[in-house]
Amino acid sequence: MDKLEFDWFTKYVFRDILHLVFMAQVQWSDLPVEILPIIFLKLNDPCDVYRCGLVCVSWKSIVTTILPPFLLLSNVGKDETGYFHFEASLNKQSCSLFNTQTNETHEIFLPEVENSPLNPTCLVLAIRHFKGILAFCRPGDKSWTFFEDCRRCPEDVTFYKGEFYAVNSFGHLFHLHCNTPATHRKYYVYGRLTSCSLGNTITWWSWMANFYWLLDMDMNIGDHTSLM
Amino acid sequence: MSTPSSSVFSYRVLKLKSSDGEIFEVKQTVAVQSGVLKQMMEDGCTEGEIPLNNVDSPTLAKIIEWCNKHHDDDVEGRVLSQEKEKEKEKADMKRWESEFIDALNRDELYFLLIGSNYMNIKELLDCAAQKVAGMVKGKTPEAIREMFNIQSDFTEEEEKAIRKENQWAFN
Repeated sequence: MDKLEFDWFTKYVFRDILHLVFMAQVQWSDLPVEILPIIFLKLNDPCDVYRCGLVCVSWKSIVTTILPPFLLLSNVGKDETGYFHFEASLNKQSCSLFNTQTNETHEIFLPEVENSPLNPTCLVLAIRHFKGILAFCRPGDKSWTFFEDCRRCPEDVTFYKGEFYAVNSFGHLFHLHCNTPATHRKYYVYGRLTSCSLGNTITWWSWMANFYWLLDMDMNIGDHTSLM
Repeated sequence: MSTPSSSVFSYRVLKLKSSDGEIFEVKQTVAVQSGVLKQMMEDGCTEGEIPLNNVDSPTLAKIIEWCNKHHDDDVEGRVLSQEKEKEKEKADMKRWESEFIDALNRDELYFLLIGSNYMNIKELLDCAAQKVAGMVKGKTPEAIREMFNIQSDFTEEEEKAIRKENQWAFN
């Protein structure tokens, strides 16, 4: 074998053989531990992450660090496809939490609801604090109905004599008309809760009973105690 | 001694040496996508061959192919004027990325994960990790083991306990 031939041999054939030997040693369980969380965090379903933790010891050690400590189960068991299936059980007064660290299941008992969500007149009002969005839905609705003017940052809502009211951190009180047609569905500003308006308008007081704890927490409402 | 012009030239091209000794020449503007190489450039220690001991030549070739494709075109002075054109370019790139990753076999994917992690190329690492996540999704631990040729190293008791407690997570 002359030099040229040998060079060619080392450069291509020998290299490929080396590479094949190297390839045969691929051990996915030896994947560097800093890469594993990058992969696992791309799984949207915590059940998938959990199953990865059952593959081998090194994968489990990473999974336990990134998996939420509890998974919410509606019932422990499998559906016909064999997968755990989440379903909201309206009649059940408890939910189950699965501890991913100890593999134990805990049952949490939920408080009684006054009005059953199955009642067709039931209305759920939700407030999303991050963007201050207010929305509601009724049984059978396919999506939430949003209030158009969402920039007023509602802090809290309350239900009083069959109507919803919201208050924001600027002291504005809103009457939420959930039954008007969508085009007219807006916040109806009732006024501003300041020490002045409180002093002048005694009718605020009945609402104040509901808002009292909130106002006390978020706003300076001046000398409202003088009204008592 | 090198003339100023040749030293400028050598400064603009990096010589990367793979674990099996092959040399790859990469433009500095392309190599900057690697966090490790970028740091070396900033520290001014990119003279001569840069050994990449964890990356073999087929993997390095793949990584360079990726970096060449993702090389920021604006550096070359080409500016995309139309918003539409930009979007199209983005969609084309996404398609190219998925074709690039899908064409890899499992071993190549493994080495690409290691190589991109070693060279700190975040986008490539993310893309490869996304591919692995897609392969793992919805699979049982046994199927994952089989797919990646992983031997379970749990003790028999551990294995039993896992199976008993977590029937829902299996199958």
